Amino acid sequence: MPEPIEIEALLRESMQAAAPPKLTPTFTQRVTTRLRPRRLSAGAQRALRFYALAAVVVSVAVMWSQGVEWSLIALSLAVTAVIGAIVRSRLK
Amino acid sequence: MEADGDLVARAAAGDEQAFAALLERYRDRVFRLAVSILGQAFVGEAEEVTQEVFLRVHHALKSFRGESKFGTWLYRVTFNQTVNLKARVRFNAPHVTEDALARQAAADPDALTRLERARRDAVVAECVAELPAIYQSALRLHYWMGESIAEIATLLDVPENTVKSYLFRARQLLQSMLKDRGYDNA
Repeated sequence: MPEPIEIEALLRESMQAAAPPKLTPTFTQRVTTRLRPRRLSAGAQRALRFYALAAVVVSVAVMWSQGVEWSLIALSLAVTAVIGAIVRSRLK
Repeated sequence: MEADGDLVARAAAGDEQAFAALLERYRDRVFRLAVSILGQAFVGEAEEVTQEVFLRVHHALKSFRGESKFGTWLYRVTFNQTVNLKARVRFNAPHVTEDALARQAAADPDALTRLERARRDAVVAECVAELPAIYQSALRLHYWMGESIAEIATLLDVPENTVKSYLFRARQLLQSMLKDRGYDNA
């Protein structure tokens, strides 16, 4: 079937009625902002460290008061530390 | 100009400037590819897809083995992500009523011509949206954005002859669809 010229002209005229699109001027800035790692402020980091330390101390105290052996307490702390390290390395 | 491979290696090692250079080099093409799949009414959504593609690519840079060119990989990610989005979300172009068209035409000296043209453009857009995604993309890149066959072949990662056959087949399908809608002179 021969291809009519008209469809070609129709497509050009119809589609070019709208100007070709462009990215908004802030596009690059938005992408680079989202790529930048979000760091906690110094105060928030201190608070987080204090919370982690308190959690460890309370956990150990509770487990010890319940008669859990020191080896099991050490194992549970080690497993938690390893999981935390894996998560942290993946987030980097 | 620094080669893509060097920029990719530096960006994968955490060099933000290298990634910014890749972003600068490829952002417009990625955006054009996304918008060619989604259509004229979804420029904002295409920009969001473009942003997501670069974020995804940034996270995946370390796993990029360089088996294909960086651009080819990037366009493939873009195509797949846009087509997936289109399949998940039903994209409906904003409906323009006959009344709205008539009101717009009444305020214009060439009212009738403009009204007819607006109706025809709406029908063409409707027919194009019914074509397979790859045909839509080829058509919009060529007729709307004025891309060459070679550039479309690069963006769609197919040979130039395949692009020509996509365009030919798309025009044939369109012609028959327009005929069914009463545009015989198309």
